[in-house]
Amino acid sequence: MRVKLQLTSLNNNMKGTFMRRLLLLALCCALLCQAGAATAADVDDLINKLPASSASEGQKIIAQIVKLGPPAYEELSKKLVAPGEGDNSKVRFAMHGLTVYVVRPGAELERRVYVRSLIKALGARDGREIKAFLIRQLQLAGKDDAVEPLSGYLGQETLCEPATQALTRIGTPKAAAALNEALPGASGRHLITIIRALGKLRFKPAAKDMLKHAMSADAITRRTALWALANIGDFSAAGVLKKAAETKAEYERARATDFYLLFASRLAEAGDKRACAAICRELVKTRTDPRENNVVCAALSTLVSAIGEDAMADLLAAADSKDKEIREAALKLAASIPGEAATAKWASRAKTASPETRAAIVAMLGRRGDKASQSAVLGALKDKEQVVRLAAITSARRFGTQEALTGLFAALGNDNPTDIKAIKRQLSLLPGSKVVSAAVGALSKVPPRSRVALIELLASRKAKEHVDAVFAAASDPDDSVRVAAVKALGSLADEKALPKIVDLLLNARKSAERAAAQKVIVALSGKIADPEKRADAILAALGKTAGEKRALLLHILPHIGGKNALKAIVADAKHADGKVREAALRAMTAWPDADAAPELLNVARTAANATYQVLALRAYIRLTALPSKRPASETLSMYKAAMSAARLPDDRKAVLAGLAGVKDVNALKFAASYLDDKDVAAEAALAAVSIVAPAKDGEKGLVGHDVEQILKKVIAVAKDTGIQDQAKKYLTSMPKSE
Amino acid sequence: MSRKGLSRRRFLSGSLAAAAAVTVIPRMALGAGTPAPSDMITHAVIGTGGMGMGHVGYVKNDPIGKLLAVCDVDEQHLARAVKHGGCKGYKDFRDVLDRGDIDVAHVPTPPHWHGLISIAAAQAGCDVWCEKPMTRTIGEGQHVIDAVHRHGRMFRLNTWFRFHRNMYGMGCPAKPIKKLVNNGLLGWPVTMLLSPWTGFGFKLRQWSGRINDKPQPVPKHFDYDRWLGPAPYKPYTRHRTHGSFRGYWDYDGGGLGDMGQHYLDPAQYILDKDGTSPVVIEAYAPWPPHPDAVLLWGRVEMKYADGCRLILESGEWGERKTQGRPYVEGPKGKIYKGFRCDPGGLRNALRSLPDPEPMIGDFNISVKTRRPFGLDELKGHRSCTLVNLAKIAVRTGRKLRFDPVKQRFIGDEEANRFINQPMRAPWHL
Repeated sequence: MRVKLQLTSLNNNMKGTFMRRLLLLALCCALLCQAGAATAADVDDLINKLPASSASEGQKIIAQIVKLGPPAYEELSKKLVAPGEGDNSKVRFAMHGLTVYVVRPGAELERRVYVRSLIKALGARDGREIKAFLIRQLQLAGKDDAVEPLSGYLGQETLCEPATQALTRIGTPKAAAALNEALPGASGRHLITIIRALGKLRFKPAAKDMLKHAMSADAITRRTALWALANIGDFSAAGVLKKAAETKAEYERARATDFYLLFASRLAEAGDKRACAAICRELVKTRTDPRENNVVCAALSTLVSAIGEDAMADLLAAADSKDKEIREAALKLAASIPGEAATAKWASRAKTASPETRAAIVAMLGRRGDKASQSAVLGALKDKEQVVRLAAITSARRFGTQEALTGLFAALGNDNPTDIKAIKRQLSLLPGSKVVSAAVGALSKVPPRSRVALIELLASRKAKEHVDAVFAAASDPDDSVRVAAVKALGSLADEKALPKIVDLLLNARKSAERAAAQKVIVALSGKIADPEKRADAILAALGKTAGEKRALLLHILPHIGGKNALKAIVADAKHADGKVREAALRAMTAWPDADAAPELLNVARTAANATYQVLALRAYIRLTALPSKRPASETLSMYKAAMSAARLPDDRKAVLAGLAGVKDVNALKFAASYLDDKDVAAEAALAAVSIVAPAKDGEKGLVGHDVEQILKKVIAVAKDTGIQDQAKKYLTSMPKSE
Repeated sequence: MSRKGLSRRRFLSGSLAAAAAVTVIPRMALGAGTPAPSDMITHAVIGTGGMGMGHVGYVKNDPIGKLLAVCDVDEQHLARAVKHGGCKGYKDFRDVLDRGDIDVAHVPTPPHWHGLISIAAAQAGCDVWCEKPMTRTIGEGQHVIDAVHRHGRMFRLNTWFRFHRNMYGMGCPAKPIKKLVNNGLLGWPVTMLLSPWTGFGFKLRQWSGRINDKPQPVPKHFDYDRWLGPAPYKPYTRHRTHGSFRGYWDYDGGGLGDMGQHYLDPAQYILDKDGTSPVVIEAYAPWPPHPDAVLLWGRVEMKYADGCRLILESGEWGERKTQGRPYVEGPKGKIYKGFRCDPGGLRNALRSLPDPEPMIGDFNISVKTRRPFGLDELKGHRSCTLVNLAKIAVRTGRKLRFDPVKQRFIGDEEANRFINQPMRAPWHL
């Protein structure tokens, strides 16, 4: 191994064919000596460890095979078998590992030795697949040293393709010359394979011989030759490529036209930019069918690649195209031509363009991003056409500079709803705190609609540090601004600000403002951890208010909850002021939990006002029906109390509807007691069938003699056939009572 | 030029008189909810295997989509697609493109065909809806970009997790993670871990190739030579083709090919790396690789120029180094599967952060407005490059250095041979 390292090092320093050959000979001798003792068993031992558990382990094993040298390589290649004729996976792991290993940087001599062995094996082994495998290794490891043996397979039916691929991959002039030598004798599929390879390698000497194939009657041969000629870029092919591009058949025309443009690019690369430009301009001019818009786009693209800013006039003309695809393509290409001079031309062009084109130019200037573009874009913020202003708004945001921000905020002064919406959207995409501070600064300078947009922006960015500015806006003379500000406080203020927001509620001038404030108060109160403290701000204000304002506060309390809040409502239900009393009663009916039930029952029983009585009873029934851990007997008692307070048939119906959810035999009996009440018999029947049925799948329903009797009565009394059927079905499936 | 059928292109390109004649037909005259002819977009689906039938479904369920053609080299697949799609069937994609009335060509073939068909479709003036992974090699991806750009086409890659409300096993969309990462709330640079423990399994065993399979006769209904197309000829086995082709390097890259771009595209988006690629790539896998069959690997690590890292771990081979670690990790914070954040307050910061640049998530909008789709050829190529870099690292077993601008490996010409791989004639890029 030390010998090998020294030789490698020497090779890096030495130049000259003779010395390299000498070195290779020396290395081969050294490796052969070391490997003299290599046996099939050695190789088997090593390859049986493959694949290894890591690259470094695997490479150590491969290095040992390399150390054994050509005898080991020969041993390996002898073990190759065709697919299906045995397991040679270890051999293939090893040989492929060798291929990858010897092509690592700095291992040239190892590669050469291995390649020689592969070539030897290629000659020695039979079978298409085995030879193809060896050729694929040469494809990865071979250089000029593999060209000659590989070229011997170019005339062979089954191996021409892999040999050509390997030569193409090697890609040197020697490899190309070998392919070119095989061209005259090739036919059929081989011919296509070799033409393709020569085209890929751009081998100019092949161009003249290839011209006749570009006119072949066979479509694939013809197409391959056209592409190869285009890729080679020899001027002699100009006529045949032009003619092919004018063919009528759709796919053939599309491909040949693209080859023609490829040819144009190659001419430009070779320095003939004029010829390239002529081809591109001819295609732009002649391909007028909108179905060939893509050809115009491709021609413009090739033109810009070839002549850069000299294509400006072409792009300016294309930007006027009536076809959107071409306009967009031209402007996309325009963005790739740098320089303020180009920007100036576009800015000037925008002045005379149609609004749609002007908008597209402004969008493109935004993508260019240079200083001159910025000034044109900011100017377009004042364009009289909305489509242009909208493009300018998006472009200005892309700059993200202070000037652009100033321009956008100034544009808010236009008071155009669509512009304002767009500006707000674009501002919301700008990172950092600068935009938020600027929005606060602009609040006092823009019309109300824009103030609303800025406040919404502050809310969406959670700009809590600017909550004072929003509080100030909550006293704005404009109604919509005040509403927006109050809504924004829901995102920006915290629970400590509740007294101030309660003040805003009490002083609100519009119902929308009041509704917004109530929502914010509820939301912020909910953030207080102790439920009993959530209503403190309202209760404090309640002590200082009367009349309508007091009523306003009472309306919120059910949405906040808490024992103290309920106490205040109960107290105000007896208030001398009728409006306060009504608000308190309505608040009580909206109470969220059963704590309010006793007081509601009391009102339902005693209220002189029929409306209050009905409202209280319905609220009581609603609270009774809420999910709870009460025993069923207690719930039944509550429904019985409700029934006793019910004065109207509709109230009794409501009680029975609630009762339907109590899965208890006594509840069933209570419901059944109303089967003879003609006003509510139907509801009683429905309640009965609901009560007996299981609450959910897997549970059991009610059974027993009483159940049986009641259901029979339901069947007799109920007029609704659906209820009757339900009762019958249940009776049939129910176990008989003993 | 032969033109058949009715397409948006054809409609727009008709003579002025014909256009006028059509445009006077009011939308209502076509029946309530019926799109006007100029609003319809015509489609062809090339490749009608498992995913291809998915694409047939996309078009059939699109109120402004009209399926005109399906194409497959397997007569059984084709017959099924023709029946389902109610349209004409073709065995050769070139005949589909020859129709001249296709607005959007779908390319849900095996990946060794993606590049060639996408390029041919762009040359024929079609917009392209391509299945993932975008291309089998980095070189093919570069050619697709060139063809799409030069011909002014719209391109959509068919993976959607940068838009989707649920990013695989993460249980949340990419957007909020991107907001936290791009605004520096996790600190910088960050490391992203894609492993079964962060919700991203690579299904390596499912997509492994077979070695020593005995060649089988090619079924009569299947044109194997055309299925191979640009890939080297290898004796036919059923396992090389439908439903299991990913297990062979000639056509795809195993689990990396199947799941890689689904996972790596949102990662690239979150890291704001849509325009670049990693500079160092290293794989931990059994070595040497099999020359034909894709087998297992353990971990692939990729590092960007700014120090951000992507770590892919299969959990199916070798050490499990990333178990228990977060999806994204920076010096100041971490985000775990299910969008669990450390510190927990990170989530609260989300609302104060600006949204990322809006993207078009509906390809019909791109086709009609000519504005690029959110996951277009450029972004698709860059995220597919991650897949292809990982494949090359596994195949070479070497630490690779990559130039993201030139898109070439540095100082390793042999690794560069994987960037542009030869094709079987007559196919070429």
